Amino acid sequence: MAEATTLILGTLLGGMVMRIIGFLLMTVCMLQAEQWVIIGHGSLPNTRLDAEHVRALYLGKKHYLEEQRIKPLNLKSDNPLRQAFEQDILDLDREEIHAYWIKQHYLGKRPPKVLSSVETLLRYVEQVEGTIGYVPLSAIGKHHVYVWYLP
Amino acid sequence: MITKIKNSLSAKLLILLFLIGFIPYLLILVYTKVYGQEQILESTIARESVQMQQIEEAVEMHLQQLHRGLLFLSQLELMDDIVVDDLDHRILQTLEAYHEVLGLEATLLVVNDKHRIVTSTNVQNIDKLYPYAKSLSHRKVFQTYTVDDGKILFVVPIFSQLDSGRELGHLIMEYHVENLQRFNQRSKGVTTAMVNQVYHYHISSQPLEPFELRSDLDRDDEGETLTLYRPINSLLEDWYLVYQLDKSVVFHFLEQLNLYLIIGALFGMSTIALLAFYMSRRVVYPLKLLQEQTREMVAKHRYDLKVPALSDDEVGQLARSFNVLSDDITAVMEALQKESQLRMLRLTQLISLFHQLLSSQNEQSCLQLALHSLQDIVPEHKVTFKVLEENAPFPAIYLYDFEHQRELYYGSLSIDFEQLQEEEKEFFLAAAAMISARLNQLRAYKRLQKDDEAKRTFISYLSHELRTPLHAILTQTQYLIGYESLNEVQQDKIAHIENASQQLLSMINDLLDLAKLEAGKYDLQLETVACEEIVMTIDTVMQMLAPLAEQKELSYTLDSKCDDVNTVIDLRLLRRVVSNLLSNAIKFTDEGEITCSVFVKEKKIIIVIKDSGCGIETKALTTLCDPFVQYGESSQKEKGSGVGLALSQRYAVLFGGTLEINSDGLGRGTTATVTIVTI
Repeated sequence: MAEATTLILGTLLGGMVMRIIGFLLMTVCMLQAEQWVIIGHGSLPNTRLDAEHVRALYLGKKHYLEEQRIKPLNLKSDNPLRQAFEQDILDLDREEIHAYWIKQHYLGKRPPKVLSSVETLLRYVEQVEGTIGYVPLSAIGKHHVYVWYLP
Repeated sequence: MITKIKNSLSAKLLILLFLIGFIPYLLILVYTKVYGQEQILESTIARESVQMQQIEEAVEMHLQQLHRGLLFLSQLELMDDIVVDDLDHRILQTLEAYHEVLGLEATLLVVNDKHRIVTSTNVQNIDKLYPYAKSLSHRKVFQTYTVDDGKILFVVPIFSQLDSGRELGHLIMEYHVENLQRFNQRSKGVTTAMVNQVYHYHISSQPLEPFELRSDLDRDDEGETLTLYRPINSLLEDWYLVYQLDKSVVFHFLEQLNLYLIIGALFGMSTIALLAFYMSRRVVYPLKLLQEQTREMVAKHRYDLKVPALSDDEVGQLARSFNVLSDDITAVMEALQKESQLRMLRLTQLISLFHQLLSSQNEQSCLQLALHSLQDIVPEHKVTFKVLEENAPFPAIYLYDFEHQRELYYGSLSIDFEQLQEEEKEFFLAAAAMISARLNQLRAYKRLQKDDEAKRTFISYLSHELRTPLHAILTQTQYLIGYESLNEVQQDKIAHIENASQQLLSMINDLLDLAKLEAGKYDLQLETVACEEIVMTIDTVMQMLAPLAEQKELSYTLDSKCDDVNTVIDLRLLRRVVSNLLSNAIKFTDEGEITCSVFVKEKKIIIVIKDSGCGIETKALTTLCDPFVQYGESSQKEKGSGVGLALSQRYAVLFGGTLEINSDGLGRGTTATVTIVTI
């Protein structure tokens, strides 16, 4: 009897511990989702971008800046930075974005390339002409990229 | 050996049967030996070629699959991560997943455009320079390279999705050549292999026998193995699919077949041999019997021999026909024998008839004897002698008329001539001819006797009647010469008359002598004389004739060499012979010499009188001793009756000697030889 009670209590306690840990992690993530900036490859035209531009590029509504084809890069969907970016710029929630791209898919359009990490994104932007991406300002470090837009 | 076979039907039959049985076997054996290997080789090659084709297709498919896989990978969006050196290991994860799925001994790796290894399933190589970078080209196709450490490189270029088709590098699969092992088949006697001649890779199920790979051929069938090969395809350059077949396995079936054939042939041959032997015995035995019988028949002239007919087949029929033939021959032989006996009988009868006829002394007895004998010989015919018409159809008897020299009809044997058989007719004709002959003989004999008697009478009469007046003439003339006183002219004429008469007398005397000799009435006065006496006699004769020789101045000599031998002779006759021969010699010799020699040789006294006179032609020598023959021209010059030599020869015969006259020809002298047998 005592053993069963212990087991149930243990389970309940375990569940609680997990929830607490999850909460803490989320909090940390929120904290990590610091301010993002739009960076771009060195070959991009020297024009100022506004939020509308960025939104159009990331939703595939616009592909060029002047003569330069722009290739937006995304982070994974579970990345807090992307969530922050989408909230800030796209002004759409997950479902809306998902629905949007399903619709676009049938029109023959693809969402921006997704990369796993900020570091990769930085390297891409550094290497590939016409690429843009959002990274935490602090992450730029010594990467040879240009900051194009600050929210 | 060959002659023996030629002469023996059984051997021929045996060989024939043997050949009939043996030749098909032999042909099959030869065929399998000569063409079988080739055929089997060809069919094996054809079959294995299909196999090889299938394997090649399998390899091709495998490679295509790999190609498609790599192509798919290379076109993945995440390949753009080459740009960031696969920072997130997304490429690596994909490659590893794919590698796992493939399950091959292979390394997948991505090389960037600087030939540095961006990522690899073999993590140790990451970030190093790719060692085979030089062989990578920038063609936009799938390529394979075989390299020296047991790898085949499958290379696909990677183009950026993001950066408008920029070539980012290559996706490479280092495919271990051992992977090809899976396509090798394992079966008895067959070794399959994937061979690369350039790098000397031999991926085979079992070790390969050495072989020569030539680009212009597709096989190498030297030695114990047959090696087939073909280039795999364009994806695997310098690679060959090799099939190596153990010939002993390939030809195993053929060898087995040959073995069975040989065993079969041996068994078949022995069966055939037994069968042939039995058959030849069965066929040949009665024939042999037949042959032996015929041989005996011919050898011993026994034409009544029979052959047993052992069967009803052709040989049996032959034996039966042979027996019929034998019967026929026997019958014919008997008939022939009978006929020949009859003929022999008739011949002996004819001979005995003739013999009897010869003993008959006159015509009547001859006819009687003939009729009598004929009656005895053929009592079934009544034979009579009748004088009929000359042309009557009976055996006629003719006689020869010597005076008119023609045949006269005498009579015929009267029988039923037309009824007789041909042989009988001939017999009676022969008998009639015999009777004719005997009758002619009798008549001729009678006539001859008559003629002879007439001749003798004539000669003795003639000589007697001639001598009487001649003696008278001689007496008268001698009286006239002796007692009448005649003048010289008268003397001379009378002397001529006397001389002529003397000559005539001597001639008549000679004739008389000849007549006497011919009549056999000469009285011999034989006495035993020694050789010396003969020499003396000859000497006397020579002395007597010496004056004649001296007149002609001839050399005239006598040689004698007498042994102590005796002979019986009439010296008178010898004297006459010698004097005749000597006088002839002197008469026909005008100059030179006359030699007479007497000697004994081979128990004979030989007297040779040789002159150097005119000689005699060879052809005249044969008639020289006939009466009244004088030789050649001398007859005109010399006087003589021509009886001399004839007389001499007959005298010589009379005293048991011989006289021979020889001459080498005209002008070469003459030799007369008298031979007297001694006692």
